[in-house]
Amino acid sequence: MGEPATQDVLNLDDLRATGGARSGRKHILSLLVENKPGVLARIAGLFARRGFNIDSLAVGPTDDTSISRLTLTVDGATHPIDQVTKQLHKLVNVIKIRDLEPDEAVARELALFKITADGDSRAQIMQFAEIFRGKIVDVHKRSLTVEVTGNDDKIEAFEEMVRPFGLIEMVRTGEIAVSRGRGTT
Amino acid sequence: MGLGAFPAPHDQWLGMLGMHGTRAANYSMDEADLIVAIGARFDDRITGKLSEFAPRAKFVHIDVDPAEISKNVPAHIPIVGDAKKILPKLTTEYRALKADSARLDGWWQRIEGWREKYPLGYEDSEGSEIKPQYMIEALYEVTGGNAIVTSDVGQHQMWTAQYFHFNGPRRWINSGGLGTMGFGLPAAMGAKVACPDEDVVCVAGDGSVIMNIQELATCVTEKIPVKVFIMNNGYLGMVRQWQELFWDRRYSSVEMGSSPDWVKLAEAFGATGMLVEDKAELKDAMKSALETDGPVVCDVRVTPEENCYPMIPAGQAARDMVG
Amino acid sequence: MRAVDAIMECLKAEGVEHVFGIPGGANLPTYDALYDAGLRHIQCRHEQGAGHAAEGYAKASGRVGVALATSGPGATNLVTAIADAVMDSVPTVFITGQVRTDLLGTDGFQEADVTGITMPVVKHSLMIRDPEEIPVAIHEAFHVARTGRPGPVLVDIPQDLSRADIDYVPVSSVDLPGYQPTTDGNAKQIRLAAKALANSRRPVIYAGGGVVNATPPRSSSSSARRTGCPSRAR
Repeated sequence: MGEPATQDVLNLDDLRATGGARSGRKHILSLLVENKPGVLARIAGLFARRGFNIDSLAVGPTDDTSISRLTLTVDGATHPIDQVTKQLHKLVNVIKIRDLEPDEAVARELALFKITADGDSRAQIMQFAEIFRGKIVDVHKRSLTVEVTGNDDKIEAFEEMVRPFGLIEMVRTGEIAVSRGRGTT
Repeated sequence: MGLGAFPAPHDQWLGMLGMHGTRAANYSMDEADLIVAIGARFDDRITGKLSEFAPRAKFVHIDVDPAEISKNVPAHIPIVGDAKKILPKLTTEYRALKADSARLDGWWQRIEGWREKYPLGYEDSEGSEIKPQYMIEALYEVTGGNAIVTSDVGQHQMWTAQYFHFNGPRRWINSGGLGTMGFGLPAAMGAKVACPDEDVVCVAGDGSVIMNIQELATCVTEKIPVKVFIMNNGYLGMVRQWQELFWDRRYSSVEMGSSPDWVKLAEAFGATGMLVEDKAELKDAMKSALETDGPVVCDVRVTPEENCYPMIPAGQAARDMVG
Repeated sequence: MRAVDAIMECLKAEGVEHVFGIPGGANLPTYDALYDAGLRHIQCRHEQGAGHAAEGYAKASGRVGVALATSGPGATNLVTAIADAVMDSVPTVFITGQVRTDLLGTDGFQEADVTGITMPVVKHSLMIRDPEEIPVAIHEAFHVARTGRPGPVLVDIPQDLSRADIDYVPVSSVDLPGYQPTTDGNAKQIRLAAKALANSRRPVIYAGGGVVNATPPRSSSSSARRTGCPSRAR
């Protein structure tokens, strides 16, 4: 066999594969989408048929009425996140996608916890609510409903604290996030 | 789907890749150190068992759809963009490097070895029996390789891909990804409307063509003279082949029977119907079909139980090719 | 003019000469406009046939194939062809009639949620809610169908909106902030690929349908200088 080109020698063994890797961490994807009928269905349908799981989803208007903000959290351990974002980009109604690193974003969600509360436990629950800067939004003879906002770690921590008292039900909005600093997300 | 992108008669053409591709093409992918994929998506029919696909190769992947890159196979050098813009630039850059083409001599020798040892071929019949592969070779000869060819899905599709040596793009019109039976006749109709001065031919399976046969009425009424050649083996051929090879020859619902009488059906629609059962008459019948005015349906009776080879069985690797 | 007449103008502006389809209740206005629009309509016998014909037209010519169907079963009969077009990246536009807006969502006669049914198998789809948006929608459909990775685009038009009067102004450009396909390859990557090729000892080129899609369209049958297929010269 002949010799490879002597100028610009490149050893093929040095080439590394790009893409397709699983990051192992949670990803917050912040999308700007056209506010048109069916956009949410398109995104949900895409995830379903490609077998990607949505851990949570929150959607709402932006200051531009023709554009909505959609925040998705996806588990980077089970799916290659670059495939998820590339498939999302194929949707014509998706304008922009930002994969927010945990330390470059402020993430919040709101949760409502309906907790069994009578006699002694009521005071303890109220104490936890105060520690977590939650608000009591409903009171009955045998239950309390607490509203807590924070990132998902904080919500999960509060849930752990109050579960022993008897968690009747819990409703979470899913996280929304903005990038830290001056630029837009 | 890429057939015709590179002229088949050319020396450097290795053949179709994949499940029914040539051994030379599949083995070369298996031993390659660099694969340059252009406008292709590493579909499962091509790769076979993904974990054993092209184990020694690095991949350059050129595609206009970024989502295809690293979807099935990790790309080492991804290039997103339009092939028609990228290929000229790539060629220029490559030529500027003045690589010694002799470095490929050993590789070409190896490939030639495969071509000689495993040519695409079949055992032709001695008498009047028409082998399906022969039918395609006859069509290729009669059209001079210059027709636009559509097909349906199944064995006839694979044989057409193997034996009709497409030498230009937009001649092979096919349902590759979805694999839709019943595609051939209406697609031929559309192609003929687009290219009225070209010969447009549909190689149909007897199982497939009945699925959209109603469009023959459209062809007659709208004066769209497509030429349909039915490769009639009386079976849902590809399904029968799999039942023979992998399901103990338990032929479950693959016999088509003798209905319809294709000649009478064609005539009922107002088209010309022809029946060919003798190999000696085939080429003349095909010529006649091409020269007859208006839509023509030619029922060509071929060997009932012929298998399409070579084949990479589903879920296996290129090295496991059979036939 | 009526929205459907504007549709005909838009189709002609896009260079369409042939369409395939079958008329029905929900697209009667469209077929009325087609009657003397100067386009050749091929009346098929099953919408699946019309759909595959549009595909064959597009694959052979390199131009956008167009198929029309009415609402409900007419539109659902197109689904196989649409799914086929998305799998093989065929530039096609499917225009379906839909029931009147006051009947939407009521399980009306020949009503089907075509946009919903085809969502997983289109490159893009547009459900018309305002007749004034029809011309832009048609041009957007063609743009999306033929650029980047080609594919099928569905435009679903309720019958009453299609016959409404609109202020038609020819559309000069489309604005799709979420759709900006990259066509120029990255120069550094191209150089790297060339180097890799130059240093390889056992290279193989694997070319797919995308290479065929990249070849220039055949010239139109009505152009005077047409001598035959350009690809033969290769």
